[in-house]
Amino acid sequence: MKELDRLKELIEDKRKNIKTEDDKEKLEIIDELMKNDNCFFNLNVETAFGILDFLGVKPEEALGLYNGLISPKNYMQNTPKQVYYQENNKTK
Amino acid sequence: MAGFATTSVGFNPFNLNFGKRYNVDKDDKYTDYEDTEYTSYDEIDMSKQDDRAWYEKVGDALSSVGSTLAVGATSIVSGIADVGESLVDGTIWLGGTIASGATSIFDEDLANDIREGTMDVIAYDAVGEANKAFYENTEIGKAINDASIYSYDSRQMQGVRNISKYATEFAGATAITVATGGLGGVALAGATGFVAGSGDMAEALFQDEENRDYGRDSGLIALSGLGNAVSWAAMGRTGSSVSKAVSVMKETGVKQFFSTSLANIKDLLKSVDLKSLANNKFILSMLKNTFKDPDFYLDTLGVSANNISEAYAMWIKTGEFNLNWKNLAAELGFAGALNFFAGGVQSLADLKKPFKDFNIETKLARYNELMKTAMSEDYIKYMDNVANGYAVVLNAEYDEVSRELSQLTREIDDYVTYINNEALVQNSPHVELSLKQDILSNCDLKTDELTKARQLYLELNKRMNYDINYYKGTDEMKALIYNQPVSFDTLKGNAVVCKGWSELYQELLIESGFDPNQVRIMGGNNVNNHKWIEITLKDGNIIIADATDAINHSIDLSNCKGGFSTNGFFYADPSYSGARLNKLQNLNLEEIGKQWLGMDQSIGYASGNYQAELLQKADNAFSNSSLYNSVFGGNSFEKALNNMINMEIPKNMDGYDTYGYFNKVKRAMFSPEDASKININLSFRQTELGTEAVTLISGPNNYAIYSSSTGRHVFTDFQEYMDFINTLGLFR
Repeated sequence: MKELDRLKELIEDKRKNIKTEDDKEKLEIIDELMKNDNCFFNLNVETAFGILDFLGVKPEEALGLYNGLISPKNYMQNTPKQVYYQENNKTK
Repeated sequence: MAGFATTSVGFNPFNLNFGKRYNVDKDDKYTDYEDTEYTSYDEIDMSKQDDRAWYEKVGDALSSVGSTLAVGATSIVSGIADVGESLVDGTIWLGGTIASGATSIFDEDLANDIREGTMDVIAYDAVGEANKAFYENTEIGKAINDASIYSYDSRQMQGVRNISKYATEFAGATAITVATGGLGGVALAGATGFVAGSGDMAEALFQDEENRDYGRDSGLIALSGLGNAVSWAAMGRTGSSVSKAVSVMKETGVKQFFSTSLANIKDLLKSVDLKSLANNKFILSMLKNTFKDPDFYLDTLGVSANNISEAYAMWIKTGEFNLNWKNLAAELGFAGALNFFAGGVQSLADLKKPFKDFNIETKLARYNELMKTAMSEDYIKYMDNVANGYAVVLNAEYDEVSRELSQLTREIDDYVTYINNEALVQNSPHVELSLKQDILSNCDLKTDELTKARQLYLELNKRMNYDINYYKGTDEMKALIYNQPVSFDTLKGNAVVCKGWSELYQELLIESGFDPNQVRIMGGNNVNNHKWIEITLKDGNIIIADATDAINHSIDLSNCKGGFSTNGFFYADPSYSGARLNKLQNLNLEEIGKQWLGMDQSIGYASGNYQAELLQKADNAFSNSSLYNSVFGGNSFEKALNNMINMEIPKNMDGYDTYGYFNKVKRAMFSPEDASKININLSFRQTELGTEAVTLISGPNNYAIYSSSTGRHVFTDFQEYMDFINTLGLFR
């Protein structure tokens, strides 16, 4: 998933340029979130854009990147079937 | 039957304790360990007819079986070694092909030399030559071979060798897959099978020195490798099942493991030639006993884990797979062989018949004397007769064996069907589970008491709400709510107060295996008295569980629904018995609650951290950014809705998939207030291919329909949207 790869690249770039304790704490939260490739589905959209902003994403790139992270493809790839069925509908 | 854990490569079948070992002196005479020499079979008291009859039986029971076992043992080991040799041969062939191909670019002569050398190395049947040398060139080998019912190169022993080879391949493919954790290993097992199969074929073709041709034969070798790869991959899939079964065993206990193992045996039985197997009851019985024993799977896993995991880790890291196949094959074979012999011991015990009439000590003493005369021609002739008689007995038992095997297969089939049905019922989304079943089915009831109590606590709390009528109602209403007995059978809705919650939790704990004496509802009996649960664990400690009390300003009925850490589940020594958590002012229950994180991760309630707390942290840290407004601007709701319904949908998603997906995105992209303006519904329609699901999205000025056959249709006009829907013949 190119958007996921791009995000990981941005995180690593940010890691190299940590300047404050606050930045460090924020990065730790992102690291924790990124243990789940589907984490952007669980995040409030404004928080999600806040993360992209923190990682230095420009407005012209932000929507495409966000859409990729919550794309159907990402959803299908990273959602375990069991969870997927439970979340969707028990009648299937 | 005990299994054998093995680590050593060296394996001498003659050290196995199925017969006494004899020395051969320089004059080729057999001596026992006390150097007592016997020269004639007739010197032993064989004058009495009844003794002769007795010896016939003893010979049947022990001598022929002993010698046959010896030959059988080497055949088994040969089969195991065959796999190792095939792997080595296949690797050499691959290496030779690559090396000669590369070399031919600059030096065709050298390339030909490489090809010739490769063919010579592969053509040498190391295992066959070793067997031949032993049985034909050593006296002990000759004697054993002659006394055996079947000679080492007989069709029957070749069959044993093949069975052993198959069993080893099966063990190898299974172990590789198990050790590499499932499906990844299937491919690896397939690749190994390619090497083994190509090695097998290469040896056969290159032994024909006059007609061999590297280029032409290599095509056939590759084809053979491919065929074997399919076979190994199939076995690897079984290994994948075993892999899963091993995990399942850890998680849910032995029963499920056995069911999967039985399914594997069934697959194995399907894939072997039962008729040829049934020609030798003993080997068949060994095979059956071997594969019935879970130790076999665990041993093969154990001996190969180190070898494979290291190589596999290196493969992942560097892309190079440098496994020492020879060691691995030998170790796997060793484990397989020892379990096979364990099966043999069991099979001997099962046979019983030859032994039951005799006193074992007398029998062994006379047998020892008898064996010392093994050079006598009379005896050898006699043994031949016994052997023939034994073969007749074997043949006579053919039908019985077939019946047993069919019965075994049927039993396995029935059991697998039973397990599958059980799984079907458990997994079937069409079955409406009762609330209690729903909770229990979401918990691992075979785990330890503490984990089980924790899981039931979390699952119950996720489903129950506090009955607000208790606070708002009159005194009569309070009394009515408080005093009515609550059980899952009589429960209406999901609202409870402390007493009802305690009764439900108590019911779940007892249903899941706790002794009723271990679970007590605590608190007074007045309508205003609080109630909670105290569990006495077998380790002597207690659990105080209280989901309905406000502890540190929160109650666990809410915490559990949000994925937060809990405050009302306290594991303590018995000195805390009777305490109400809310009154334990000296304890920081919030901090104590977070100590459950490890267990909650293992049971899936929390991931890296408690999900809700992590999301809350993220909201606090990142929600003040201006990027969202920069992108969506003033009319963010409509733009976000437009963005959502125009997401690119892959062709493999059907209307049902999109229903789940859009609901997920709706929760992510919109506040609860905005989300309530968007309806996402699931409907169905009949098509030529059957019933298909259709997702319908309707929000202010944006409407969309999606299904596999219609694709996506987006509308901004409500009437157009409705007109289109009417053409689809939707039903719910």
